[in-house]
Amino acid sequence: MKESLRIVIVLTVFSILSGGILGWFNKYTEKRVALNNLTALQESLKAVTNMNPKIEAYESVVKEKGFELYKIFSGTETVAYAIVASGNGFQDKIKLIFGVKPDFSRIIDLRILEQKETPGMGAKIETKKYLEQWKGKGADSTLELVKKKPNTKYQVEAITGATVSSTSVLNIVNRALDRARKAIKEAEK
Amino acid sequence: MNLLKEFIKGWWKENPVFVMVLGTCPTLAVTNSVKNAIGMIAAVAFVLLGSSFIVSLIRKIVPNQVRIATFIVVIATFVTMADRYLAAFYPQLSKALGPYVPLIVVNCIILGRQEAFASKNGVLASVLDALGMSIGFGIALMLMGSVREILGSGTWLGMKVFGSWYIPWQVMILPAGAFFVFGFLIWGFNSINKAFAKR
Amino acid sequence: MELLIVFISALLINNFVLHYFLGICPFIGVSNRLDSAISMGMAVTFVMTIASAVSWLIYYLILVPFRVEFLEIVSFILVIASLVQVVEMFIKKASPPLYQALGIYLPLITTNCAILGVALISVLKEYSFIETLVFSLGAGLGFALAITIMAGIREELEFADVPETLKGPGITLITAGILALAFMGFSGLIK
Repeated sequence: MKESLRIVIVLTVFSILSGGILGWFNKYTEKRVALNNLTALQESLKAVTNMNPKIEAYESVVKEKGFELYKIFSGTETVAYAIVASGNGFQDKIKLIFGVKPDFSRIIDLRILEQKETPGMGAKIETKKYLEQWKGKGADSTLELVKKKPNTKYQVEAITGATVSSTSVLNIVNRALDRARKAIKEAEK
Repeated sequence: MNLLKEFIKGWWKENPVFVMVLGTCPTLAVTNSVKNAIGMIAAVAFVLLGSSFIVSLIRKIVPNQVRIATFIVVIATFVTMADRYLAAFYPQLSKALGPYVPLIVVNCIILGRQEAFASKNGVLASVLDALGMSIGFGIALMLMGSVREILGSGTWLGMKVFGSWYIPWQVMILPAGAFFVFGFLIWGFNSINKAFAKR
Repeated sequence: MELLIVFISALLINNFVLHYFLGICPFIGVSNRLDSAISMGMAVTFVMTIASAVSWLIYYLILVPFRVEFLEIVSFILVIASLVQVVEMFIKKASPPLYQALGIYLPLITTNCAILGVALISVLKEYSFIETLVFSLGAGLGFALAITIMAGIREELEFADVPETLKGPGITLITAGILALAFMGFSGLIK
């Protein structure tokens, strides 16, 4: 009896101590983690909407699994939308963010947030050369993948040897654009 | 003299990774670059030192039946602290290491040292043992990380090692490369140890 | 459809052993004979599915509402450790033949990082309850698949002329590397 009492006491004391220490430690780090996430979001919003030196104001319009829509303001005027979207790539999830003009005439810029594609092949979706071409693509219609130099603003050139990853990025963007146009129509109603 | 032995044994003779083949999961998973390896070494060393210190302090008041459960609570507490600290102050590193920081909790090296050493020895010896094992773990991870980053990306800690003529062996930073490098390093370690033992 | 993707991804593309490097200890330790490898694979799949389901419930029904997500690691590892004991006792009572087959592997599973790994990754990827179940089943079967293939290869390897110092973990890891290369062929199945 005495032995089992000792077991209970020791386990309880250690669990409480552990919980207490972690609670105290978490208070210190929690704010910092939240701040990190916020800064990272603001940085990428700024990058894909070409807002310099910084974004004046933004609000979250839609936030669901695999899709987030942000409205970027300058004063009271909407100057851009930014979309965070993710989907399946060659290996694992690809998560990206891109900015579009408020009238959805064109894509301002695109960045990859997370990807685990094959180094040297699919991972080239993170290279400047590939991302550069997204600037100015049409955002009012479905984009298509081509294996040569694009002729119109609705064509995106695939990476040689990484057609699957290129297709994935394209599909994620197309789906996100579709979803965003719907969401904005709903919001205007 | 004895204490010195406890400190040094983990570096080579009882190297936790290459000789005892423990802690294989982080050794393979986070050594695609030297930077990730350093982050992992720091986290493991912190957890190992902290838990060995606490466990050797409390070893006499913990009843034998719940020994392991108590050790796990102690280890998990240190792991959570390391994890939260990285998330707060090194967000990019924390993201790159992903679930492998929380997984330190089931790293056999840590619980193994508590069971085999800290629960039976005094504070000073336990801390030295933990420090020695951390260094052994560090040597192993740095070796893995260096080989994989130099061959796989042509860089070391982000610095260019080869000229532009070098075409990186990208397989080295893929999972397959991790298995190959680990396998060959174990082979090397065993061969060297055997050669010395013969003399 | 989404569930099928989660399953295939955990089973083949991001195989727990060959891609996430989880469960390497039993993968090296218990893969020298085919029958024990299969038993180990089944035991892991079984515990993994239950453990991730329970961990999911604890995370979303207790930790999140009370805003104590930072206790994730402590509570998951305790849950898994006690769950393994409960499962062991239950199987012993309910099905002695099954206990005979899996019994000795169950205690080993507590320190199997794959189990905790599945629980942690499910939370990290924000899977729903059903997705978590499918994911952990896929991951467990993926582990079973990898360890079974490995055991098959190692039974043949016994007759090969492997250098003395490469025997054991060394050659197993190099073989695993070749397996990992082969599994890369599954990438792109889910685009």
